[in-house]
Formats: sequence, C-alpha cells, structure tokens
Amino acid sequence: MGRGLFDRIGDAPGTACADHLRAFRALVLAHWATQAWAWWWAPPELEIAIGSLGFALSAVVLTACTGVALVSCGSYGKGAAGRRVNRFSSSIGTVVAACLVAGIAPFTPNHTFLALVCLAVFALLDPETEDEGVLALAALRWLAVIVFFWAGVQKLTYGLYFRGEFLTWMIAHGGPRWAALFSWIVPDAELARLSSYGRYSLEAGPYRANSLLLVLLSNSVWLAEVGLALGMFWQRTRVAAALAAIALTFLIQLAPREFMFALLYAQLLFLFVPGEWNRRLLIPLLALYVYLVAVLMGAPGELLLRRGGTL
Amino acid sequence: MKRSLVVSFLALFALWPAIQRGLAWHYDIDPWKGFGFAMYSVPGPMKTVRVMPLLGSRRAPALDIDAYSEAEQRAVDRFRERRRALGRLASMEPLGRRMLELHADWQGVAIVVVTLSLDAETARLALGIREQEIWRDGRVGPERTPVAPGR
Repeated sequence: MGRGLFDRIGDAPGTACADHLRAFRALVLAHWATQAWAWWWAPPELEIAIGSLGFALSAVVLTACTGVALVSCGSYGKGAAGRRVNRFSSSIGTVVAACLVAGIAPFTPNHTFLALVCLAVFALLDPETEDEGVLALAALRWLAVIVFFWAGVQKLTYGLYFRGEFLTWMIAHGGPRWAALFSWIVPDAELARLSSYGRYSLEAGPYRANSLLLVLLSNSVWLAEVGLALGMFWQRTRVAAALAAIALTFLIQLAPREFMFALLYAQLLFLFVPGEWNRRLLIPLLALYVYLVAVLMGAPGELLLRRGGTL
Repeated sequence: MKRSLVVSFLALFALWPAIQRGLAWHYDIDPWKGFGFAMYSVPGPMKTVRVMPLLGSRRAPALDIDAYSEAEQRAVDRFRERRRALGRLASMEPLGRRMLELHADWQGVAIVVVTLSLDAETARLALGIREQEIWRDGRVGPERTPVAPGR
C-alpha cells in the first residue's frame, strides 16, 4: 500500500474534519460502552477469561470515556486541555476494549474487533491536528473499504452464493425471520421444499435455489460488496457507493438483526458522505445504543433484537 | 512515523482475512470468527463431540450425551465451543485428560468430533469425522480421520 494509494481515499490536506471525527470517536466509545453493558447483563455462555465484575468495571470506564468524548464534541474539545483529556480517554478506552477483546477470545465478534481498531486510531492520532486528522479519516475509510471488500470476497471463496446455497440454507433452518423475509420472492412450493429438509440430514437437499430471483439476489450480495468497496475509491462514485453500502448493510441485517455491526459500519461509511452525518445524528445514534441495552434488559423492541438474543 | 505505523497496520489488516481464510481451510476454524469478515458466507459450524472409553484394547460405546455428569457436560461443552471457534487448533487432549480424571477405571479415552458443513459442490451437508486417542499412561495418538466413517 503505497503513499499514493493510501491518500487516494482521504480528503485533501486542509479539509476540516475534526468535528466529524470527534463525533465518530464518541460513537465508537458509546458502541464499546453498549457492548460492555450488554456483556455484563448477559455474559456470553462460554468459557472466557473475563467475569461479571470485569464486564461491569469495563462498562463503567467505557461509559466515562464516552462522557468525556461527548463533552469534547463542543468547543471544550478544541483546547489544549480538552485534547489531552481526550487522548488520555481514548487511550484508556482502547486498553479496556483490548482487554475485553482478549478476554472473550477466541469467541470475539468481528464487529468488536473493528470497533477496537477504530478506537485505537484515536489513541494514536489527534483529530484536532490537521495532519493527523486527515490521516485518521483516511485510515478509518480504509477500514470500511477493507471490511466490505473482504465480506464480498469471502462469500465468493466459500462458493455458497452462486446458486443461492447459503440463503437457501438460512431460509430452511435460519428460523422464521429468514423464511418470512424471503417469502415474497421465493415461490410457496420452494419454501415448502426447504421447510421439509431436516437440519442435520445428510440426504436433505440440494440446498440450491430454483427461484431465479433468489439466485440473482444471492449473487448480487457479494458482487455489491466487492463493487461498492471499489466504488469508494473514486471521488465520483464515493458518496453513492457509501450510501448504497449503508443500505445494503441494513438490508443484510433484516433477518439476523445483529445491528451492532450495522450501526458501527454505517458510522464508518458516514465518513465518506459530505454533511458530517455522525455529528448530526449523534444524539439519535446514542439514544439507539441506550435503547439497544434497554431492549436487551427486557424493553419492547423485537425489531432490533431477536428474543433471547445478545448484542 | 505515525503515518508509517498506520499504513503498516492497515496493510496487515487488509491481508489478515486472506490468512484467516487459509486457517479456516486448513484448520477448520470458524469462518465467522477470527476477524476475517466472513460472516454470512457459510452456515455456522455444526459440531458434536462424542467420548468413548478405552478399556484395555476395547473401545466401549460412546457415553450417552443425555447422561453426562455436570463435570463431564462442562468439559465437553467447553471443548466443543473452543473446537467450533478454533477448529483443529483446539487440541482434544485436554478434554481427554479431564475425562480420565473423572473416570479412574478407564485406561484411555477416544474423543470423536463430528462436523457437518454445507458442501458447495453438492449443496448438501457433508460429514467430517476426526478422532484422537488419549491414554492414561501418557500416550497420545495422532488426530486423524477414521478409516471407516461413523464408527
């Protein structure tokens, strides 16, 4: 990755991005605080190296770091003292997040690792400095491109999207949401065929879509992921590609409803879109994180989190 | 300096999913884990674990999974979850040793891992079996695919 290629995705030096990055930093910390509270409330049912007290302490520290970052979204964050406090707070947040990632290894969800890397960018780089701000913005955009590109390439390499194999499997065995979501494009006869397959039966199958629409949809997923990732490189297609990627990310989550990844990823993609949408949507997004924790704790919200699910 | 650090890290971040893909192919690690961003590429791994006592030269039938003691269940669950995530990088030996601790009358134990995966070629489930023998006297057999699947 040479200097030219790296810079291709960033903004020109002198472009103001500090306000947007400050808001993004607060959202990443809020993401982590949400995750820590969720793990404290519903610890993963796995043999992991971190217990309830560890999750609780992490949640408190990350919430405090989020508070610091939020205060700094105002004019306070631009001063020397505010910048020092923020660097310190981002560093503490990064260390705590790294401990959480290591503590639940090898079961760490990919989105928490991505959130850790995003946070580490702010521990290393100061968005208030012009050079480092532009560098941070380019690095964060690169993360978004790499993740989307590989999400598509991985689907390609496993070979379960060409004839709709993965989607067919999920319609058959992924639960009522998957079947309901695809019922509008999959003929009733095919739904009946798939629902007759035993989950662990070696004879069941083939898990291939007969519906042309489902085959097209299946292939369009990986093609769109690779294509949109490449589209984010070019100035002319960048914004459209980022907006389409946000839409695709949320569409993909309609059935599994694992919105923690989608939320974080949408915030990363907002960094491509003019208008500082992370800053504008800061309060609604924070409210959404709080609401996600509330849903986990029993508040109504089946649309965001499946019953018995975790964040 | 910071720029070089960032660019180097991003290069590693961009390369890692290819390595993770190789690990998934070679060691059967969970494609959904390990920061390879292969979520929704394949169904989640389906693995079951069977424990067979070795009594002298005879291999007894697998323990009834519904009759596990709490300690046995915990040991098997712990191994199965690690095996789901880490594939063949998660050794069967610790589970075998734990089972021998719990059963003083066994000379050894065979651990069998059965994996079901959706095969891209046939679009049906494919069966994969791996097993390993762990003996009380310290001998550990190689992890292998049994000659006669389903034994």
